[in-house]
Amino acid sequence: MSHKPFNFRKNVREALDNKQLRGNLRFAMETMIRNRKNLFNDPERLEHLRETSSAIRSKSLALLPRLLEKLEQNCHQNGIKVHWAETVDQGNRIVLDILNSRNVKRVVKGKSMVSEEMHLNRFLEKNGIKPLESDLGEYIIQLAGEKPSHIIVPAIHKNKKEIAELFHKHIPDTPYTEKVEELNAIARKVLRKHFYEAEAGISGVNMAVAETGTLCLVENEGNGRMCTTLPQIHIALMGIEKVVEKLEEVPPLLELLTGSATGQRMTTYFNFITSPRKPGEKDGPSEVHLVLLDNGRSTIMADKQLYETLKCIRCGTCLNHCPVYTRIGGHAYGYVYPGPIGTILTPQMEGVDKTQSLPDASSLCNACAEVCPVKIPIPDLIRRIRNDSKSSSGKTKGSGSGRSLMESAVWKGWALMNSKPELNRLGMKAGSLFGQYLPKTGPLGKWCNIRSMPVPAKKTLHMMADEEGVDRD
Amino acid sequence: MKKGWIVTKQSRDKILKNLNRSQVLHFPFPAEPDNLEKKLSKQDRISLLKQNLEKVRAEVRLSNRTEWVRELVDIVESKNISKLLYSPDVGLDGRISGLWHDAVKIDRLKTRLYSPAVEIGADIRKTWQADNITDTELVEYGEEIEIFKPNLFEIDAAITSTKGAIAENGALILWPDEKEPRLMSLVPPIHIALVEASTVKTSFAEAIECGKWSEGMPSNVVLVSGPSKTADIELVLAFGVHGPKELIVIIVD
Repeated sequence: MSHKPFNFRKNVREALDNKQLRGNLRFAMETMIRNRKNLFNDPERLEHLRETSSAIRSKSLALLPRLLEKLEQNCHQNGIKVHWAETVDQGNRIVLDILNSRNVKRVVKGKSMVSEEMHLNRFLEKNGIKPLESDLGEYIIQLAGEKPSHIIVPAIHKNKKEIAELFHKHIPDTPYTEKVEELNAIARKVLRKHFYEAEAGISGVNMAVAETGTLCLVENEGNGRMCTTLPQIHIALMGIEKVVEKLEEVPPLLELLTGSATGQRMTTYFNFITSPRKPGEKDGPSEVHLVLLDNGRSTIMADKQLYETLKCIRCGTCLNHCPVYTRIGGHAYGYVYPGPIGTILTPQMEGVDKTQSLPDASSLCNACAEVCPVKIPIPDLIRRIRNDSKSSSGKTKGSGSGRSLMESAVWKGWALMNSKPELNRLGMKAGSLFGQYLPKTGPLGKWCNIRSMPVPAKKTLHMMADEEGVDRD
Repeated sequence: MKKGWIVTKQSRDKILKNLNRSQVLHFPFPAEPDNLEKKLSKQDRISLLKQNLEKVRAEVRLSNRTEWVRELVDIVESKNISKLLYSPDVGLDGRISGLWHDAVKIDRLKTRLYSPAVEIGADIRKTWQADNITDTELVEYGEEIEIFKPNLFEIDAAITSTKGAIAENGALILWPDEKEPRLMSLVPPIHIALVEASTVKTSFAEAIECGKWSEGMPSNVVLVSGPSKTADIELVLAFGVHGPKELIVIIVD
């Protein structure tokens, strides 16, 4: 992923040429959109839920430092050890230290976007520990040596033929089968053995409740519960923004999370973890660790507008509804978080200088903002980040890196032309006469690669108005 | 470890310092929690729960305090369960004690309406002896998981109590403890759960509020809605991935 230099436009071209990918995605996204729509069939209730949830997330962020301290204190009281990581590297080292100091080699993992953000698997593998992904989708892409292409359904870019081949090739004594039921049964059998033997389990956290020191995990498969219950050690990874103050704030967020993500009224499991095994209890991990990762979040919080990025509950519905994502898929975005949320989150974490044209991956159609369960104004934030990338006074990491003299000159010329009536008239006339002969090179050439150039009208609007005798005053 | 601790302490202070500089001070306060919700009658709650559980492929059986064990015997026989994991001294009584006390306070007469408690473990044992059921061995979660693990993975089915259920979500509230460890409802391929009808709530919010969850949570609470499932391959829904392949709910009224 990040070892190749990131070239968004090249990625897009490749993705658009991949007919298989476009077919898989189109079908999957349409299904997910339909499921969500069927569930949220009462617009009034949906709007109420979104208002409530948006307010809960805003409140949580406004109180963030206090809530984190409260969470830490209550977790500590419950016997959960809290670790703070300012950077990805620190986070990885904390996990490795825990595993090494207890001589752990066998690790199973549940789905966690923060672990992807940390490239934790790569780091641990370099240090001699290979964690096994246990969510079916994650397991599939781990076998394929790939990265998730969707926040909720990580292997959505793969069809059952590709998966059948992967299983046949990588799992000993596995016959080739394209039957989904059979593929699931194979994964169940293989992974059960690993759950049985694992010494530590790593998971993400969907939300943490400050008032009780509780970690909440949402899932359907049961692998998350396996990872957090069977092994002696449980390590939970969480972005610092995922805390809420009260338990009573959980139900609306949960309803919107599962409904927006998959159109489910409820996932199979909603797991509240409040402490390790207590004396007298017969199972559960004897150690629970919570790693709180910052990785740029506290800097994002400092901006009055951009902080809204952190309201995100990672439901992935903005991906499903995005006309850009549904055509290019997650890998083209080149980073961990794809789709509209990735378009705003990645440049802030990595810096606009590194992500370059990523904020362009939007038609600003507003679909993401309309469906976002916590009402993040994603298109506004995209425009803000685009501005910052061109402006040396921008506040986003790497601001001003996208400035080009030619572009500034063009915009200055445009401003001048539109502020002087005589220049404007002249320009319009020239455009209508010679516009169609403009050479298709440079930026215009690029623009015309995938679009046909519009032919300017013979007469300007002013000319037509004059002919019709419209009173222009 | 000591060095690691210092690093994480420094990071902690830096992160909090950074956050304290943030200017997100104004926030709209959440609207009243879900005032669109209407409370349902007990019968409506139970039928909504049943309907929602069946939607996610759980099997639901309605029964009563004296006959529920018959349902269990029927399940055990029809599914050819040879090893049933159970807890010998768990009942639904302890689970409704909170409710009982409330009722005493509100109306002394009302308490008489409560029938005797369901002694799950004792009822099972009695029935097994009386009916001379030998095809299904009763197994207890006798030791800590480190020792019990090989046995646990050989079990066909487990029966547990519940703290209640949530009608709107089609979810059971599992409240594992010393008697009923966490893995009972996860590792065996079939999970049978007993729900006391009076503990079925309309909404998740109501369950949290009535159960006073915020005053203290146990080590682990799990909401369960149906058998384990996935749609990770081409969005094709398939049941029984890592957790139980079947969830059977007996509602005791």
